[in-house]
Amino acid sequence: MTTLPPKAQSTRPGIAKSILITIPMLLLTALVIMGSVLGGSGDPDGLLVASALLTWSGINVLFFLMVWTQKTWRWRAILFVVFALSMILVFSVAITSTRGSTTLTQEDVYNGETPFCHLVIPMILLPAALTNTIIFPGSMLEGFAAISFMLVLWIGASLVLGRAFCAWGCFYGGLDEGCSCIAKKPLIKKVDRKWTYLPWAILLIIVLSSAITLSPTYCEWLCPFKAVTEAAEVTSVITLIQTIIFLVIFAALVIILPILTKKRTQCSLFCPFGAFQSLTNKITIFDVRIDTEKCVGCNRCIETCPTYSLDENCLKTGHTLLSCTRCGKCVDQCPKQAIHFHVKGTAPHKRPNLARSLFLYPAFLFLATFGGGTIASAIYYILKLITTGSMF
Amino acid sequence: MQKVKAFLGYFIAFLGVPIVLATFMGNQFFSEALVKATGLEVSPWIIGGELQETLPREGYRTLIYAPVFMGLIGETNEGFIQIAWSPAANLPENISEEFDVNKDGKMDFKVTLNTREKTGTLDAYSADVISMEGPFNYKTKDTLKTESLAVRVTIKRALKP
Repeated sequence: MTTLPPKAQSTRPGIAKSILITIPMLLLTALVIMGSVLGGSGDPDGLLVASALLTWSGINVLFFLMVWTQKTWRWRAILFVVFALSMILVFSVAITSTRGSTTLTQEDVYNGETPFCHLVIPMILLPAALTNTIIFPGSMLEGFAAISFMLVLWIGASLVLGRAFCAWGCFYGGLDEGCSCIAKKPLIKKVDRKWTYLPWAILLIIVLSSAITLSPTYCEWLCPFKAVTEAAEVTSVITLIQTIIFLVIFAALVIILPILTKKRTQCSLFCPFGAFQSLTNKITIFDVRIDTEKCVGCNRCIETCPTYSLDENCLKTGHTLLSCTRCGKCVDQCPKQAIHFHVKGTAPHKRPNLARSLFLYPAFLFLATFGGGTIASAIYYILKLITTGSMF
Repeated sequence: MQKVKAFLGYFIAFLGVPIVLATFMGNQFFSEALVKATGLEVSPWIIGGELQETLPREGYRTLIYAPVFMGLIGETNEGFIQIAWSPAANLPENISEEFDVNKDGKMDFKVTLNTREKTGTLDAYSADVISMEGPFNYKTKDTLKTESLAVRVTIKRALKP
């Protein structure tokens, strides 16, 4: 049995200081959440106001806890999972109210009425560069999740967060993260590291096949989240096979394997967007560093990293792997406090609290803004269902 | 040098919050700017090519879209031409129209529609006309977004005008 080293002294701030640090986030989130939820309606109804207030308070309680307890992962994960579940509900309601059902018909495709999601981005870049067109059946500027809206969001997120988008912005990631938190201990402890190259192989295949066929092949054949968003109407053997593939991949990678391994298996062993987004870790100013002098080699960080972004070599070099999502789990779990958020260009491990705050502010604000509107809408639909008997 | 790098690092890190705020609050502006600057549009393979010709009929119009042969590089050997009848609410029960895609004076195919039952048939007059998909409900891509009934006829590149 491995004996863990004794815990290092933590520098936990007092309640007053934590509240002070939380106040700017209270104001920023009030601006963006209240603005997005209540801004469009001239005379907002009581349920909408209640949903927005509930969301805003809940989000800020989580941020306060993040500051006060000096723990990142747990509080982020709660918000992240709620965001993912809310997204499924809001998406289903929005699509059903505009199209009558969540199934995608050929007519919806020809009319460009499909909401755009970030997973498509790697597939559209090459055709966009060569033909100046987007190979996705959405709308450039209009409607729910327009193409340009999501592209701008992705550019902003990539500049600031890099692959931290996968832990602080992706509205699907919370599903396998949620499942990875269900079991107390992993039943499958060892997964061959070679599997972490699979997302890169899938990325290469879908980029090439989409460019050749000028259609988003990942969405048509492999996306596990079609199982919970919108899948093509089953009208032929091909659409039946596609639907079975979506369901099997979703069940295996988003539910079963995360429960068995306690890892985000879909994100780390399958998602081609995740692999692609790893490249943006080269752009962002934030990273995570390991203090090789403090590290005692207990390997706890390697065992707990949800995305296989740490290995023995990282403990020697002091750097995480390119796939790091800066979810904060290793930082929280390290018994020697040898792992820190870091601002590139600055001396590592010198002012870890400042680096953490500088990262947490934009990252949490992104999650709160992107997720806040969705969570508030989900609460609104639930309250509406309770009070009127219908979500629509 | 280390101090300059550290200063720059912290400065860029401080920009994180304004960038996130701008991303969300300025999204409409940046989205429109992105589309305007790049000229990006949805692929004609999906939304059906540009409107090329409008033929006025009694109470409705026949809309003929540009044939689509766009490939990643160059053109594909097979493409399609989309034809729509608009507005759908004003269409007669039966429509039968012939089309000359390559404008050589000879008709290339005839489309016969039953607009109530939403069924249609294709009569190909040329070996370069392959098949037909539809009719399906289609919203015109102009500002009116009129509900129409459309078909897509698969054709060979030899028919391109």
